[in-house]
Amino acid sequence: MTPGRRPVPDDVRRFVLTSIPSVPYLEAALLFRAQPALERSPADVARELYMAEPVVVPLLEALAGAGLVRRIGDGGRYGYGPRDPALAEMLDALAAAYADDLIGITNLIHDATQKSALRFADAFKLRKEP
Amino acid sequence: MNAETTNFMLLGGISVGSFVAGLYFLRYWRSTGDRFFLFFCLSFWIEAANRVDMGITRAWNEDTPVHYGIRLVSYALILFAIWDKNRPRGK
Amino acid sequence: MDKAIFGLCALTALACAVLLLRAYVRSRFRLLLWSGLCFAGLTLNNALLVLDRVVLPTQVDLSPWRLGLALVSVLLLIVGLVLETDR
Repeated sequence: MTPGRRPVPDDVRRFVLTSIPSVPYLEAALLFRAQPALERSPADVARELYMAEPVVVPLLEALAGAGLVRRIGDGGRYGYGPRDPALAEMLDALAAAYADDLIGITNLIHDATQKSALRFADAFKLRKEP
Repeated sequence: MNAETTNFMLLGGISVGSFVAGLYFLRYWRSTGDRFFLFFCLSFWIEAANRVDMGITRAWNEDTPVHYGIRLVSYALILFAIWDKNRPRGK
Repeated sequence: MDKAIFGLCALTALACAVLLLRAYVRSRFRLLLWSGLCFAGLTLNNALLVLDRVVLPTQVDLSPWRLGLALVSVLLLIVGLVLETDR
């Protein structure tokens, strides 16, 4: 935890640990969020994130599968489309936290120990939470 | 097969194994701050000590009040950890 | 008294095993499988302690088998913790 900054909020922390597998994934999601009305093809995303297109395609599919972006038509285009308002709010909070503490969020994404721990502890929650 | 020497070896293995498992829970506690893991760590460490004592006293069956008493404490810690995690407003 | 304690331990371990294995089925996160199996083994270990006192004659010495079971259980947990702490 970087001292002197607002610590990452607990719900954002939990979201990152359970749902954000990599930094490119996060960057792509935030890219779509920055311009919600814009449709993008994998080539567009590859260009904007300085990544190779073959890497971008499965990334976009994963984002679509997780309900962060939506597929548009069958032309291989995507647009920002969180599947429910709660997810949209979470992405807003995540964007703010990322802007505030990039290193902290990046460390969380790569923190295998915390991810394992969280999943282990979650097994013992008796009430089913989404 | 000599049951005694086998049991010594098995108890040694169980102690070290429990100690290591406890270490991982300690690590989880330090990295997440969730005291759920502290309870698990202590539970496994208490059992490790219990097994060492069983070896020293040759109590293969947890017959003595000391051993089943400590066993009770170890498992009570786990139950407490689960209860603590599921309390409303408990994380 | 001791039977009650081992019975309680067996039930606790059983609860842990059920919770972990149920979560494994839902999420496929392998640490939950290893640790679930560990607690299943510990359930059996404690249950055998009760059985030993209640049912079986005193000539039959189950202790190496029981201890062996406890050791295998703990080893399963360690395998899970060491190998699966890696996304």
